[in-house]
Amino acid sequence: MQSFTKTAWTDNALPSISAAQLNRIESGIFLASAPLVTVLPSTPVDGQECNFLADATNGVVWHLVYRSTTGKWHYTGGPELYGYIYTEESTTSGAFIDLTTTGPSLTAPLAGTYDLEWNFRGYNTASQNACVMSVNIAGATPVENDGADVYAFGASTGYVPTAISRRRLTLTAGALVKAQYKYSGPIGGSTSYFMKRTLTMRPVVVG
Amino acid sequence: MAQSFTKTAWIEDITAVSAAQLNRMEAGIYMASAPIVTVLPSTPVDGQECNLLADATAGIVWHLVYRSASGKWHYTGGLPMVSGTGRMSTASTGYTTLAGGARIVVPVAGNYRITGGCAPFINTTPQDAYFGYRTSLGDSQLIRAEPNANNQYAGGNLHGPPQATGQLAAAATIDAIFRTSAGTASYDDPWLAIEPITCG
Repeated sequence: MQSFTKTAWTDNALPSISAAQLNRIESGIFLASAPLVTVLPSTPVDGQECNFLADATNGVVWHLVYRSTTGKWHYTGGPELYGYIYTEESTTSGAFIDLTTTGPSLTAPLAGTYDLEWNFRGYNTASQNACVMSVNIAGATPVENDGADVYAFGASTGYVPTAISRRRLTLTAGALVKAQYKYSGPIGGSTSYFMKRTLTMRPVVVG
Repeated sequence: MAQSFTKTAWIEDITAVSAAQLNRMEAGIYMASAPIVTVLPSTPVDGQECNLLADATAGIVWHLVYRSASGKWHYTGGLPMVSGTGRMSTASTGYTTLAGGARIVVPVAGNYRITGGCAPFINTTPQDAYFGYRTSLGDSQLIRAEPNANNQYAGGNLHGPPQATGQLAAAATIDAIFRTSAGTASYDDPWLAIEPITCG
């Protein structure tokens, strides 16, 4: 992708205004434009830009630039999609399940590769057991090793914040990403508590 | 929704140069321009863009695009405004600001995502060290950490809840706040950061 090269116009001297010069200016304007769209342009050219309305409700707009060698739109800015549940809820399940308030859940607005992040604060009633939060992608069982987790050092009701788990995943357009929860550890029947559950989604390449 | 710029295919000696054609090109150039501004343009049109100088000292610029359907400028790029460093302590059991604690002044009215973090510790167990932020919308807790031994670090960096209940006014302050359940809670490098979602 070349930068736009300006012509230095001089009165009564070459170059004169011509169809070629005007077409060059038209192309420069077209490539410099980044329209606000709800559907990706259908026949993009290398370097074309747009501002994609990813979430009208929350006002999330992503700035994208098209690269012909990949045939993809590359993310260059904008907020992530954001899901958040404050309320403390719990489970005694050793398999991934929904809590009473399902989610947070996010839907991929476009096919593409996304960076997902999730975390929570929690505690487990049994020493050496963990609370685990992972993500269900389009109905697939979450992977425990992808989970953000908190281990209990002893009988405690003290909340501990997890590190942020981050994964780069390929998603289809409309794919639902939903957080699910379980306990993990040697002691059955413990209760895992979760609150301030957060899930975010940011594109890498789409289209 | 802003329309894409539609090119005219000029043909020598056939396509006439006219005021309408030149005005169409002028409009295209205007819409493609994203000037650096310190105040948001007063009468924007759908799809108009600008680069807002959010923090001249730190060199923070936010790229924004105007959407007429929302009447807001939508954030599409830039870096967060960040504040906070150093170690501080409190024995207060009610949320309080601390000398040298992080503070961010909102550069333009808007709906912001606020994040923060720190490494807290406390000299008494089993007690909790709390860290959060205070805005005109109220207090919000980012971290409640219960270290499992005296003076052992706990905690980490967390996303804060979204500012979904209302937007902050221009020049509103966001302060780091601290409290302990008992004893003295200490904090290493408590920081806050904000990024806009929509402005104006």
